[in-house]
Amino acid sequence: MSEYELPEGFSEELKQFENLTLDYISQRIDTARYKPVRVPWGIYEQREKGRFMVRVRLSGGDISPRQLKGLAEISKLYSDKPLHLTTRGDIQLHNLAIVNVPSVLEKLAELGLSSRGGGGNTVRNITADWLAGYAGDEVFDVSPYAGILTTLLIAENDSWSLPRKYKIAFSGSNADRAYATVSDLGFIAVKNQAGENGFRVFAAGGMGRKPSAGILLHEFINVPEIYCVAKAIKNLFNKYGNRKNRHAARLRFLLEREGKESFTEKYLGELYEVKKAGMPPVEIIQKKNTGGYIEIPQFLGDLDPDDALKIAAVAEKYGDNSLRITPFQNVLIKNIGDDDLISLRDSLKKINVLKKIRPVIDNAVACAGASTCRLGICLSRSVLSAISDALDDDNKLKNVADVKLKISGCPNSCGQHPVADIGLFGVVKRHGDNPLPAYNIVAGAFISPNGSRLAEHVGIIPARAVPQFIKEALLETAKHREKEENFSAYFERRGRKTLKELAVKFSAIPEISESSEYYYDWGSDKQFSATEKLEGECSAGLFDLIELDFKESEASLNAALAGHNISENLKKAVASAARALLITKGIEAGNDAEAVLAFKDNFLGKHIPNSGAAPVNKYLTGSSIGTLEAQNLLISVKELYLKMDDSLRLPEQAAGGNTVEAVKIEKRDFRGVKCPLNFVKTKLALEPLEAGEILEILLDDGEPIENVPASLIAEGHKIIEKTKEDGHWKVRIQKGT
Amino acid sequence: MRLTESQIERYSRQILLKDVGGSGQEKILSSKVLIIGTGGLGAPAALYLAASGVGTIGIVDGDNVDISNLQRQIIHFTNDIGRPKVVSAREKMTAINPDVKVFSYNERVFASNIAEIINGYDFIIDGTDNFPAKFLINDACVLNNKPFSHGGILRFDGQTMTYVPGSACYRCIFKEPPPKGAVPTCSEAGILGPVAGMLGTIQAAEALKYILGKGKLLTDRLLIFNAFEMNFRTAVIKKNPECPVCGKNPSITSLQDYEQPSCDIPRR
Ligand code: SF4
Ligand SMILES: [Zn+2]
Repeated sequence: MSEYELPEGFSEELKQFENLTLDYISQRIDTARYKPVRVPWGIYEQREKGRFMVRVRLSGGDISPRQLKGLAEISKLYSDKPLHLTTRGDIQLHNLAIVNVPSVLEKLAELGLSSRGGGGNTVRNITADWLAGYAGDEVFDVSPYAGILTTLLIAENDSWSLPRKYKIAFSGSNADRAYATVSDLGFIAVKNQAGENGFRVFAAGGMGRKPSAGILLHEFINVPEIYCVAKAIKNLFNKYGNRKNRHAARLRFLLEREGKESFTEKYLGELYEVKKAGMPPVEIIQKKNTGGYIEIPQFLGDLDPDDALKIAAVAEKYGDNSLRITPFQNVLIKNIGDDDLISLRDSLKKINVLKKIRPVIDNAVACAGASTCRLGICLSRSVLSAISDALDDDNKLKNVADVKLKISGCPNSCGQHPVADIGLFGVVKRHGDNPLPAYNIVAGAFISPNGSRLAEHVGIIPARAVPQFIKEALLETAKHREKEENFSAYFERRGRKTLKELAVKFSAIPEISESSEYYYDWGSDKQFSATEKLEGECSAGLFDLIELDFKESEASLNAALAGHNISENLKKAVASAARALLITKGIEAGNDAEAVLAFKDNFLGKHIPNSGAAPVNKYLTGSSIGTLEAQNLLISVKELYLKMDDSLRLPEQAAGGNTVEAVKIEKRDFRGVKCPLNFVKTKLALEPLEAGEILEILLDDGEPIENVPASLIAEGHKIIEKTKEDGHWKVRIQKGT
Repeated sequence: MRLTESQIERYSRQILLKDVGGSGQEKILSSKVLIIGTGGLGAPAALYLAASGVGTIGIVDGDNVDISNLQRQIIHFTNDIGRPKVVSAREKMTAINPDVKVFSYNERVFASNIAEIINGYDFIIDGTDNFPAKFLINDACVLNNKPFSHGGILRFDGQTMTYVPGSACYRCIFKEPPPKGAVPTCSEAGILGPVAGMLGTIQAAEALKYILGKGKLLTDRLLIFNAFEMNFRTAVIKKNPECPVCGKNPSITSLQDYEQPSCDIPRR
């Protein structure tokens, strides 16, 4: 079992946080001060204002029946939403009112649970192999160590203010089911030549927006050393991590910046210090599992609290250590005596907890997506429902039940698409003037300590076509895959080609006049709009990504200017500049070279003058790039970006629409804008208009209406209408020559 | 193009100008100006151009800040003494306006490096304090078709002109550097601090007008002022067909270094 223990002094920390929450509720402190404390406690505000989600950590996804029962009760008391199981084995309580948050946290503490580190830049939930204790290939059961390490790390204050999140995973075998090789820190169970248990250690991998596999840190460490290693990485991260730019703060960026050698060297320095200070004992637990397990699928990870109560009641019989949340967002009952296995399945069916088994879907994962996530582009959960509806022929799909389908609503990887057999992540695509929801398809991830390969890009298709695409892809796989062939091997042999062909087949986008449904996301009755997404806080999605590339390009350029690693940094600067706007054309490049190539094909000579070709060609031919050249490229890409409109349309695309009205009237609301900024903005609004076209603006009474029209006249424009509407003015201006 | 909200506010007083507007401000933001010398002339020019939002500014200077500079080279502060001028200047410029990308060249211009340095910039400001450099900059700009602003100051006097390809160049009026010692330099003759500011800001204004493509540049004119009498006048100058660099049969077709006057030899 891997339950963790709350540290001494926890109740005081909790009390402090509760007091702060009360201060916030009674408006003695504002959001700006509360939020930075709230988030590391695993408490997030949802898209609806004033509604909160609490993410409860469960090391290795393990939870006792008593705890699950408690969570279900809390949920019934304070929430009207199901419990939500996450891919990293936490359980989330949704839709809580802030006033109830302190009570919820207290009740969690009574259950021995905490949400501390459920979010923010903290030591996050420590995951473990979901088959720990059961897998045929496991070297030993790693689940206890997730609990032990959690207990030690959550007792340390510096675990809550890291440069960025810190994710740790334990895998029981080279199959790496916990994705140890793609985590900030990953342990994989091995034996040394003497036959002792220990771990191979990987570090600085991660999914996120730029997924990458970690590097091998230790060939072998003894089990008790896990704490020192985890602590040393934490210290390293704390000391050298980048706190300024949250987009380049994960440990893997430190690795990128330092280079493998210097990273390892610094790490070993930290490890030495930690060891010198003495390490707390980590007990070696050798335990044998009894019986078997049953996995109970929960569609989209939503667990009805009543079902949770039933499951907890059933599981009680098998002991404290009998429940686990899997990365497929399902519940596992384990330690089931062999005699009970069959009868339990039946009784679970009878109480309607175990429903019809649906291949692929039961193990599929979708992130929260645009319905609740502030970064989301596509409604990932809804597309999974649509896929589920489309996969009606369960019989044929039985052969592919092992295929892991993973969906993220945006290029961030919360749905874990980089490690999928078939993965999807949402992007905005455009057809003519209209944005539509689309998914990039990636496939064939191969996770192994001997070199992981993340899922590779095979195409991009409109969201509408996704269910049929998945269906055909699965049927195709079922038909042609050989016995015992896993998906990644099949992908190498045949799947890559067929998936790419299928993606091409489904990539067609009909005109909006023919099939308007392509312009609606699954589960939404509003026409898909990129602008809408770009406006809210969430918006950010795309802009953030673009700005991030610009920042990276600039940083590399600056580093080159400062004389660091000049040729490498200039290459990096060119690649990031080249990558920045690819996303506006729905292109996601796998690596730098791909990005530069895609940029050459899609932007050079089209949107970017051919004079920018020099650094691009030099990059591609491997010759050395000049500083000013690289800088000029970045500037021209930035210029193009600045010329794009709010929906990130390229200039001539924006002009391409043939929606010419008789007289076009542009409208702007400048109420609340002070003099002379209102005039400045009016001027800016007039600039793109042709002489004779009309702009309508709203102005405040008083100074604005007295000044702005007069200034406009002085600049040669004509005021053709000035009307007072309640409290403000409507002014129509005809642009002068 | 999208000026961000904060850019609109930051540059609002400039956008308000009919001849600037949003599109003019965009031009400024995407322009590249090189300032050679970050002393008396370069300091105010660099500060104003950075503040105005010139997107890329290159600054060239091989010297370190000296206490005797501080009386007029307002980009450098007392605690910068001993630091490279370009480092000190870059700091102030990015502090005034983080929009601006500053490239610094911690070196002097010579015949061997100047062509490479000016390459890529839209406009060059000569803020140097010695004749060899001024002639070198003139020749490099003429030979490479680069517009530039010439400036010179002494005691209470200043003079400036702007060159664009086709107009009269500095050599059209002054054929070659005066013999060593014939003309005193600032360090010998002295200079009233604000005179440097007056001239440097005129040069900055020329750069912005050139970028905007608006207004009347100081081409084929030499502006001369005396701050003691507070007299300004412009003299019409003509392109000289015999000019050794821009004339019909130029004798100067490649760059050469002239001898540095003795007091301008870098210290240390
Ligand atoms: S992948 Fe994107 S949409 Fe999905 S939860 Fe993460 S950030 Fe939100
Ligand atoms: Zn001449």
